[in-house]
Amino acid sequence: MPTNKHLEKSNSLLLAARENGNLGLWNWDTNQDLLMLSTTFCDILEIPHSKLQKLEDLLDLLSHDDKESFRQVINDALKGNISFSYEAKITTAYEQSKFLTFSGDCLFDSNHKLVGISGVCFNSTGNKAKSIEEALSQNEEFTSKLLEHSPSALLIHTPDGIILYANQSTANLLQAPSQQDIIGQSIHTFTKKENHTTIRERIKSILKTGSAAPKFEQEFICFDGSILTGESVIVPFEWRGQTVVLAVVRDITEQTKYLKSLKSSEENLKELIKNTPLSLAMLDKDMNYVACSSKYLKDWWVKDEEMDMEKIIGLNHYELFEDVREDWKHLHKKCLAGETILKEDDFFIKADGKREWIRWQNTPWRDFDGTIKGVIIFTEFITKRKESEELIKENQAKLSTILENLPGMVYGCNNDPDWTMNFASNGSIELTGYTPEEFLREDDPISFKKITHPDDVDYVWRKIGEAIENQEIFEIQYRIFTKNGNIKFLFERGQGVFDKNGKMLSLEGIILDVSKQKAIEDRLRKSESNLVEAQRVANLGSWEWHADSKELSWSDEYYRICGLEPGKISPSFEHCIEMLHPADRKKAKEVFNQVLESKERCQLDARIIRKDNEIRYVTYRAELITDTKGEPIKMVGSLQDVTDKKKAELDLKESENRNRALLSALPDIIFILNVDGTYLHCQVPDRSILLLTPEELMGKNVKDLFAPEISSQFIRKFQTAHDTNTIQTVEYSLNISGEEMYFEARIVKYKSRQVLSVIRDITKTKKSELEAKESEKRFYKTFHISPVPITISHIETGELLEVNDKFLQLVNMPREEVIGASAIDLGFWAEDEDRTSFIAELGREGRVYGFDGRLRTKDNRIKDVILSAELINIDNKNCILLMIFDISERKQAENALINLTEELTASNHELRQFAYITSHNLRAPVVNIDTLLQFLDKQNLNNPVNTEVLEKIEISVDQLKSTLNDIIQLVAIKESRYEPDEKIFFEDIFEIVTKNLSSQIASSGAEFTFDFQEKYIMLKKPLLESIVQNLISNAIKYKSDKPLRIGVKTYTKGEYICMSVKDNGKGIDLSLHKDRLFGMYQRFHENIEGKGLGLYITKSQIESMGGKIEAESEPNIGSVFNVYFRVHKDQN
Amino acid sequence: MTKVNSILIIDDDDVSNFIYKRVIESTKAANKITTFVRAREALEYLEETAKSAPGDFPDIIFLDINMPVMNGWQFLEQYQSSFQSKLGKRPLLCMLSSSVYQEDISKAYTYADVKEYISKPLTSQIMTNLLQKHFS
Repeated sequence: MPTNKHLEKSNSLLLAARENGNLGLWNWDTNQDLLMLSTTFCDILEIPHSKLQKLEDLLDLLSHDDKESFRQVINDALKGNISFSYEAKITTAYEQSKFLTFSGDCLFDSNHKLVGISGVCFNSTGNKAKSIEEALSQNEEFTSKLLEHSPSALLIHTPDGIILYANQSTANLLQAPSQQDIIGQSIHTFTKKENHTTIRERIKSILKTGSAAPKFEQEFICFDGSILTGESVIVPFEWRGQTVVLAVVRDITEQTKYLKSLKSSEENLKELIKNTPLSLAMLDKDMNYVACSSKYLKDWWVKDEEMDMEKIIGLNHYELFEDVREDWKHLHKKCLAGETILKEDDFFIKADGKREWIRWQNTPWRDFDGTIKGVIIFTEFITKRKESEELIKENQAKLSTILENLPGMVYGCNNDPDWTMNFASNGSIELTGYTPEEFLREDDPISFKKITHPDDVDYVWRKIGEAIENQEIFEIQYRIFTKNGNIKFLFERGQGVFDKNGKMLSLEGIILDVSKQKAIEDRLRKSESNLVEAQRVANLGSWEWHADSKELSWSDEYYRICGLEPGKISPSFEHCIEMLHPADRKKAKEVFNQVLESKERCQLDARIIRKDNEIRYVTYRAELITDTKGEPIKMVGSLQDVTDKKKAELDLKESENRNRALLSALPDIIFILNVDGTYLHCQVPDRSILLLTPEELMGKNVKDLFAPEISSQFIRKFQTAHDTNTIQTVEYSLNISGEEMYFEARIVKYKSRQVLSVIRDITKTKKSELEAKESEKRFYKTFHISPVPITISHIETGELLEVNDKFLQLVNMPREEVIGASAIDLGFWAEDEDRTSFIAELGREGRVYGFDGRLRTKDNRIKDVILSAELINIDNKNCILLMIFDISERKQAENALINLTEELTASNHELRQFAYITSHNLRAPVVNIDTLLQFLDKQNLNNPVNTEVLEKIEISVDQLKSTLNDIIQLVAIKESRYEPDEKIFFEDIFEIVTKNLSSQIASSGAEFTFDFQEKYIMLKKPLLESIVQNLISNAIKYKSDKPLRIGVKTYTKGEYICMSVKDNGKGIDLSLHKDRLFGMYQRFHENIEGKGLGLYITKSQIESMGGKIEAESEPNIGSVFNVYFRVHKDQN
Repeated sequence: MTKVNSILIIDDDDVSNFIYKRVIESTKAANKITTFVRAREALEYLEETAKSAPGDFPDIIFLDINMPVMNGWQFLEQYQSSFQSKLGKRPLLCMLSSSVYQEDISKAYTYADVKEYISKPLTSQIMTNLLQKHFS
């Protein structure tokens, strides 16, 4: 039988097993050696029941030592009939070690025969002590290796801080010569004094809790005195039998520094962004603002709501700018994925439909490890630049059109030794056979140096060099070889282009083909020599003068040259002189004497005037013939008529003059005409452009060719040009092959009675001019039909040049009053500061958008407007284009809405107050009555208590009645607004009220003074009476110890009539009660009877008639109540 | 049954004060019940008591909201600044008003001293619960 002791023991085992929660049951049949196990038992062993049939199967699971001693225990138990408990270590099917506690008791049958052992088994691994001990011994070697070789600095120190162990990493970290130098030191040697307390606290705390302390960032002092920032974790630790502290230290110096500099660099970036004059914004990944520049806000923030650089932080870009385009959003995403996106020109359409050009860049910004944190947006408005670029392009196009259509070649070349061309007009093809591209190409370009005739090169370069040095225009003639090998004579006129420091930038000029002129010249040259030949044969006269006889003889030819019949007169020296042009006579005598004296051959060019006044140009030649002694015998000579040659020379000069004129006018067609309009000469580069051949044209008059209105103009101009020696121009148009062609004639005096008319085809220029005019027309058309009022005014004078009808409607003035006057003259600006700041902004920015201003119309109404202005150029005048958006109506509607909202808010507030107070004042007595009724002794009605209770019920009922009456009165006021106004004299009202209150007035001794500056008012009489009565009775009720004086005054104040009632009573401290003065059930004097409703009712009455009430009051001095009513339309 | 020493009632309505006194007496919750119809006088009383007989300082204060001259809120402001740290014990401050407006109820709890808001009527059941909750 199990003893009590056994039972006790097995009970405690059961308890332990239950606590462990894993109790298995077992039973061993000693006779059959059959083992029965509960499922829990098998679970503990992790072995199926089928494998545990006999006791031996179980024992096999145990370690060798355990197996034998457990067998011994069981045998002892069987023998001694005792219960047992044995703890054994087993290895489970999963190779895990477990400690199992087996307990058992011997079982007997009814004959006290032993039949087996039954017991429980539980997993006692939970006690752990053994497995830890084991693990420790197994892992000690591993632990020490780990400690030694860990990359982290590991320290073991006593709770007092004496270092027992430090690994190599610690030595490295602390710059110690070796680990040994650290061991034995105190941790406080390496830590800062201010941290010592914290460190001690941390150690204390971990020893108490047994778990690790959180990371602690602190500075460590190294052996060499340097400071490093470390992060330490400490855990309590059993080491060699004592409780120690294991500290793990991580060096975070670099990290901390990096974080600090990162933080500051991020801050710097933000500051930079804020202060940059560029338009920059920094956003995070969710497109919320981190920072932005003021320029950015200025450029982009157009909403009315105020926004600044601080306020915008944290707000979302897309929520602030709802109109961000989808493609931009997409680009933001791309940027957040790491791409930097730059767009040199992009545009968006503004609210006014205009294109705004912008340049922008999106760049991702990153944190220290390169993670993208957001995007930086840079924008720049480039509309102006873009527009001027377009304008320049247009101008260039115009210029090149002109250049391309000139005869001859216009060029520009660099200031380098070869004068490399940087510009060449199309004229180069006609002139040289080479295209502009051949001159301009990079690779081995054609240069003028190469094609210039070798004999002329030196001359050309010298002339150009001289001109550049003197900064003069040069004009040179030289020969070139054209592409197909022909020689051409060119005329070139050019000059250097210099910067303001005198440095030459380039050389520019024009080259014309003068081969034709040259050919004429050559022909003339040739004819000259022919003439000389011919004259030598036929036209040479001779003469002889005999020194001794002084006799002169002429050949027949001589007579003829002089226009005389041979032998008609007997020649003499005097005759000779007489026949000469007076200006030549002196010279002739001198030459004659010179020949006699010097005995050398001489020559004289002179003019002979024939009898018919014809001038002949002649050349005298003379030679003295002497004897052997050198004495003169006779003088012989010849007379040569060179008139024709001379004429040819003059022709050449003329032709040169013509060329010069041609060049100065850059001609297309040149006519020489008589001032009367007769064509004398024509030079035309292309005969096809004339309607008549030059030959047909000669001798005709402009009158024959042009319509009278054109020809008369021509003749007038010819005359003027000739008489004044000035350039005259005529512009005319001709319909040629169905197309309107435009020409410009430049007329200059050519010579006496002759003019040179240079005709230029200006169709292209004219057409573009007309197109410009057309576009201007279109502009004015748009301007005039614009639904927005617009003006164009002169920037300097402010004079209005043009306005549209809408503007005239806006200011209500006729056009003739407006045009030519200035905005100041007309007084459009309601406020002068507006004008000043508007003009200032326009001057500064070049344009103004969305300027809020106020404008005065002729009938003196003020309009709220938004102004936008732009500087434009019209007819070469700087003008202001001003657009005016009239927002008066919108403003008025807005104001009306604001007023309405205010009224509604006030009335809502009042209604709530009304509901609140009345419900309170109704509920309180009802609740009281309810409770009081419960106090009533209903069984014994004579109970004296009932009397008191009933008295209280009565009071409550009175309160209820009074409140209901108040409500009825208030409702009546609200209703009374529908009653008609009538004319009420203040004097009458006050008479009625003082009569009503006569007893109170008498007892208070109140004295009244009245000052009715306004005699009457249009109002509802019962209400005004009630108001006055209330104010007067209040004054009496709250009188002070002084004799009561009440002053009443009525007067006009702005759009109101004011009725003021002033007393010298107790007064109210408004600093305390101002908000509640006119509230419901508000009382301010404890000792005076009142419900606190009087002023509330008065205020309601006044407001129901559209008036208002204000109070001024000071304790112990008195109160003034000012009641304002709007001046009624029937008042006067 | 739990009992407190002293209860203070501030309500401008005499009838209400009569009722409160009767109800509290019936529950035998207090040795002493003091009533005031003017908040200012109640304040003066409290200041005086705190000085001369701190033991008699009320354990419970019932406070009405709508009162003339000094209403419940103004009383609370003054009370808080006057007795901020001087008191050894903080009395249980109960708003006792006929107002059932949520606005008033919410506002009441913004004052640190206000622990309860009771809508009239005050019943013996409410009284009993109050004592159970705060004084047992």
